[in-house]
Amino acid sequence: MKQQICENEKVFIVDGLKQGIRRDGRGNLDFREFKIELGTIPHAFGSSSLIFGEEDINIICAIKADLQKPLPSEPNKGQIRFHLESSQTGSSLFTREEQSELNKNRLTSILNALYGNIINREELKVFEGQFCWFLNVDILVMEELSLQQIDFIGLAIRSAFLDFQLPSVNATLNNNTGKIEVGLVEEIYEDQENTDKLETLKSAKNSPYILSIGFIRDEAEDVVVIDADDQENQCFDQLLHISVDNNLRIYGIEQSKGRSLQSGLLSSKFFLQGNLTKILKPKIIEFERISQKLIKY
Amino acid sequence: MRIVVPGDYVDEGFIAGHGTYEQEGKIYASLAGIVHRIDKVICVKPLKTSFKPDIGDVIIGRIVAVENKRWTVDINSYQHGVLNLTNINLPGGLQRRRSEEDKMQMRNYFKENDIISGEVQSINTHDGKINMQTRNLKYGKLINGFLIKVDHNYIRRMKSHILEFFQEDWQPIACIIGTNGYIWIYTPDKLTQNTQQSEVKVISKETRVKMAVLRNSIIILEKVQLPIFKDTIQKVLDSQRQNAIEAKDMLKSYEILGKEAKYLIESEINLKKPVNLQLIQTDINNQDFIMN
Repeated sequence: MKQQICENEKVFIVDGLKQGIRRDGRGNLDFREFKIELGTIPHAFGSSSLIFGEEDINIICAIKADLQKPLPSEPNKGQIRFHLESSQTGSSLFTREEQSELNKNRLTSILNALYGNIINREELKVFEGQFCWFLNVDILVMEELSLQQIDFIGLAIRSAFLDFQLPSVNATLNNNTGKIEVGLVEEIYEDQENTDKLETLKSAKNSPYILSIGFIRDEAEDVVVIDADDQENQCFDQLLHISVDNNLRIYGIEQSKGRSLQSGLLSSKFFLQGNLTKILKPKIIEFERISQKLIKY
Repeated sequence: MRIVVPGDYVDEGFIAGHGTYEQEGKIYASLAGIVHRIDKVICVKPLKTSFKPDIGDVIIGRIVAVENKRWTVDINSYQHGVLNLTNINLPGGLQRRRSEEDKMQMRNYFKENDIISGEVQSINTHDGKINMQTRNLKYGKLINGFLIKVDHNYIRRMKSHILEFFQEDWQPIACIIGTNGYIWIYTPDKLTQNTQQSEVKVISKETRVKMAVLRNSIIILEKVQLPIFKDTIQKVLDSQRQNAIEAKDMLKSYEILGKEAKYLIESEINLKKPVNLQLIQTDINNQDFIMN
C-alpha cells in the first residue's frame, strides 16, 4: 500500500463509486489504457512489455526455459516459477524497502495461486520422469510495487506466453551408456544456415486473464469496481483477484481484503444471479481482441 | 547551454561551485544538469530537484505524525514540514493562548493522513527546518475533494493559488495549487471566501464529471510539459469543450488538448525576446518610400 488516505478522501471516493464515476472520469467498469508489445527481449524464449496508466508504468516480462528433472510427484509436468522485481526491491537506495519486499511476496503468491496453471504444464514434458522444461518467468516493474498492478502484470505474463516459443527436442536412449540424451531438432533450409526448430505452446491461446474486482457493501446494491488504483483499493470492503479464461472458466480466486469469501460474497446478489458473467464477459472479449491483434503482428 | 552528467569534465581554471567537484585541478560535474558560470565560479544546476520552499509559499501537505505540541507534515520537500500548535486557527476563530487542554486534543484538529493547506512561515537558516502556519481562514483541513500530485517544477508562484473554474455555472470547481506540486480539487462554497469547509457535502454526478475534467486537464499539462496556472488550464478546458471530448477519453488525446496551451506559452516566450531592430528600420524606410 502506497500512501494511506484520510477519512474524508475515502468518503469522497466511495460516494463517487456509488454514483458510478471515478476521479479521472472513468466509470466503475472501465479499464485504464494500456499498450502491449511482444518480443521486446530477443534473448528470451518469450517476452513482452506493457505500458499502462497515466503515469506510464512499464512492466517487462521475459520467460526463460531450462531442461530439468521433473518433480517425483508430477513426473509428466513441467514447472513454472514467477520472479517479480521492481526498482525498489533491487536496491537499498530506495526508501520503504521492507514494505516493498512485503508487497513483492504478496504479489508473487497471488501469481502462484492464479497463474500456477496458466498453460497446460504437460506440454512442457520432454521425457517422462527424466526431462522437462523449467520456465522462469521474470517480471520487472518500473515503479513501486502495489496491488493495483496485478491485472497488468497478469496481462504482461499472458502476452509473453503468446510470444513464447520452445526449441523442439528429441529424447533418445543412448545404448552404450544406458542414459537418455536430449538433442535439438534442426530445421533444414536449402540456402540458409540451419536453425533450431521452434514450437509454440498450444494451450497459451486459452490461458487465463487476471481481473481484480473490488466490492463496496451497500444496502441497496453492492458496488462493483474493476481496475482500481491504490487509493480506491483502500476504500473497498472486499477485494478479489480472479483468473478467468475466454470461456469464462475460473482458474482461481484469491482474496486480498475483507471478510471470508463465504460469509460475505458468495451469498451476495453478485454471484447468485450470474452478474459475474455480465461484468467479466465484455472485458474478456476486449482482451481477446487485443491479444489476437498481437499474434498477427 | 551545456548539459552534463555526473563525472563529466566541465572546465579548469575556475572555482568549483555547487554540483561540481575538483580533482587534480580539473572540475567535474557531480550532478546531471546545465552548466552555469558566474564570474570565476562554475556550477551545475540540476534538471530535477526536490521542492525548496520559500517564505510565503502556499503548500499542501499530508499529516505524517502528531507530536508534542506540533504536527509533522509531508510536503514533498527535502524534509517534513513542521506545524506548531500555536500556528493554527482554532475552530470558531477563537484567539487565545493554547492551553494544556488543546495539547491533549490535538487530534481533534488534525489527524494522521489528513490533508491540509498552509503557508511557509519560516525556514531555519541553520538546519533548513520548515515551519508552517495555517493562521488564516483560507488555510486548514481540506475536505470534499481529492488530491493529485504533479511535478513541482511546472508550478509557478502566483498571486493567488486558489483558482476557480466553471464560474458561469451555479457550482464552480476550484483547485488549490500548492507550490510543492500537490493540487487539491474541491467544490467551493459560493457565498463565503473560506476554503475551509466543516461539513461533508453531497456532490452530484455532474459536478464530479467537471472535477474529473479539471483533474485531467492538469495531468495533460504535466504530460505536455507546460507550466500549470490559470490561463493554461483554462485553455485546455476550452479545447476540451470545443472538441467535445469526454472526461475519461481526455488523456488519450492529450496532444490535441494541449496544443492551445502550448501556443499560449510559445507566444509568451516570443514576447519576451528582444525586438529585432533591423525589421523596424526597414519598416520605417518603406514608409518613407511611400511618402516620397
